[in-house]
Amino acid sequence: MKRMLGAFAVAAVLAGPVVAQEQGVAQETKEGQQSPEGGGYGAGADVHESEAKGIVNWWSWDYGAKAKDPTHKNWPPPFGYALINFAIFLTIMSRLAWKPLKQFMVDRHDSIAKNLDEAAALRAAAEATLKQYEAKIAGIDREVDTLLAQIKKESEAEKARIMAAAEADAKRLKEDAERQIAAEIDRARRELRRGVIEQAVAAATDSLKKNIAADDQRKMAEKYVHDVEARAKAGRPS
Amino acid sequence: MITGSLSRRYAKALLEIGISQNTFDALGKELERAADTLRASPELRNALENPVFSLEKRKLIMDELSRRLALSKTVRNFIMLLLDKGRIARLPDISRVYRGLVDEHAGRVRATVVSARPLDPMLETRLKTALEKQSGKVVIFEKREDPSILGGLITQLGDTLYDGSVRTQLQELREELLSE
Repeated sequence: MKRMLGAFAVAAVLAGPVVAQEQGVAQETKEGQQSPEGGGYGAGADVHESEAKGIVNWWSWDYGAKAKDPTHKNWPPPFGYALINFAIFLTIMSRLAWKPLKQFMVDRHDSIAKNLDEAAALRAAAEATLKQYEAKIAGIDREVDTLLAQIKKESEAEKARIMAAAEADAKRLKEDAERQIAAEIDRARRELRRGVIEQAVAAATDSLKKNIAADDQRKMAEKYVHDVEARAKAGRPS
Repeated sequence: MITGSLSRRYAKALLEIGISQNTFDALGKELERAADTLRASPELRNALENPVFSLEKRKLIMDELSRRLALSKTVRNFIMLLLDKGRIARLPDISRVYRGLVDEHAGRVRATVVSARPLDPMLETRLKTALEKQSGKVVIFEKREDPSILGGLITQLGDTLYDGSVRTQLQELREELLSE
C-alpha cells in the first residue's frame, strides 16, 4: 500500500512540470486562435486541446461552465483532490481489507501448497503402484511358468492317484468275483452233497423199511438192552 | 411255567390229602379216570369250561359224572373246587403231575419204551431190571409201538432219554455227513 501511495506521489511530482508546460502551450495556442490569421477554431476545439494537454486542474474549484475565470470554462474537476480522495480510499481499504485479503492470500497459498503436496504424494503413490505393476508384469511369465509346472505336477499326481484307485478297484472286483465264484462253487458242491446224502438216507430208510427182518429187530433190541445193562453196571456199581 | 406251577400246587394239595388218608394211589387212579373222560369228550369239556352255563348246572353235570365214574368224595370235592376256581381245564395236567408226585413219593419211576415191533418179554424184563438198577427205583413200564423208528428201542426214563432207534442213527449219520 505504501509502495502504491509512493508510486502515486512520484506520479504526481513528475506530472506537475508536464502540466505546467502544457498550460504554456495552451496559452500560446489560444492566442493564435484569437488572431485573424490563425483561422477560426470553435469551443469544441478548445476542449479537445485541453484534453490533449493532460491534467490542467490540480487544486482549483473554479472550473466548468460556472467558472468565474473564463479560462477555467473547459477545466475538469481538480485532479489533486481526486488523487487525495483516492489515497484516502486506498488507506481505508488497506485498513479494512488488507488483513482479510492477506489472510485469504495466505490461506490460498497454504491450500495450494497442501494440494501440491497431496498431488505429489498421489503422484509418488501412483509411481510406486506403477512400479509394482511393472514388476508384476515383468515377473508374470515366471509366475505363469510356475503355475503351469504346478498344474502339471498336480495333474500327474491326480493321474497316478486315479490309476492307483482304478487298479485297486479292479483288484478288489477281481477278488470279489473270485470269492463269489468260489462261494457259488462251494454252495453248489454243498447242495449236491446234501442232495446225495438226503437221497442216500432216504434210500437207506426205504431199504430198511422193506428189508429189516424180525431177527434183525430182535438183534438190535438185544444190543440196546445190553448197552443199557452195561450203562447200569457202570453207573450204579453194586 | 405258570400253568405247570399251578397244576403242581393243586396236585401237591391232593397228594397231601391222599397221603394222610393213605389213598394216594387210588386217588391218582380216580383222577386219571376223570381226566381221561374229560380229554376224550370235547362236548363234556366245553360244557364244563363254558361260562355260558351256570356254575350250578356245571356242578350238576360233574356230580353226575362223578357218580358214573364212581369217584370218591375226596376226588369229587377236588374237581368241584376246580370248577369253583375256573380251573377245570387244568384237570388233565394236574392228573399228570399228580401221577409223577405219587411215583416220586412211592419210590417209583415211569419208563416209556418205544419199539418198532412188539418187544420180546425176556428182553423187557432185562431192560426193566437194568433201568431199576440205574434209577434205584421201581420202574413202571409203558410200552408203545412206532414202526417209523425202523428198528431198535427208545426209552424215556424220567428226564433221561435212551434213543437206540435206527431212525435216529440214520439222522445222526445224515447230520454227520452234512457237517463235513
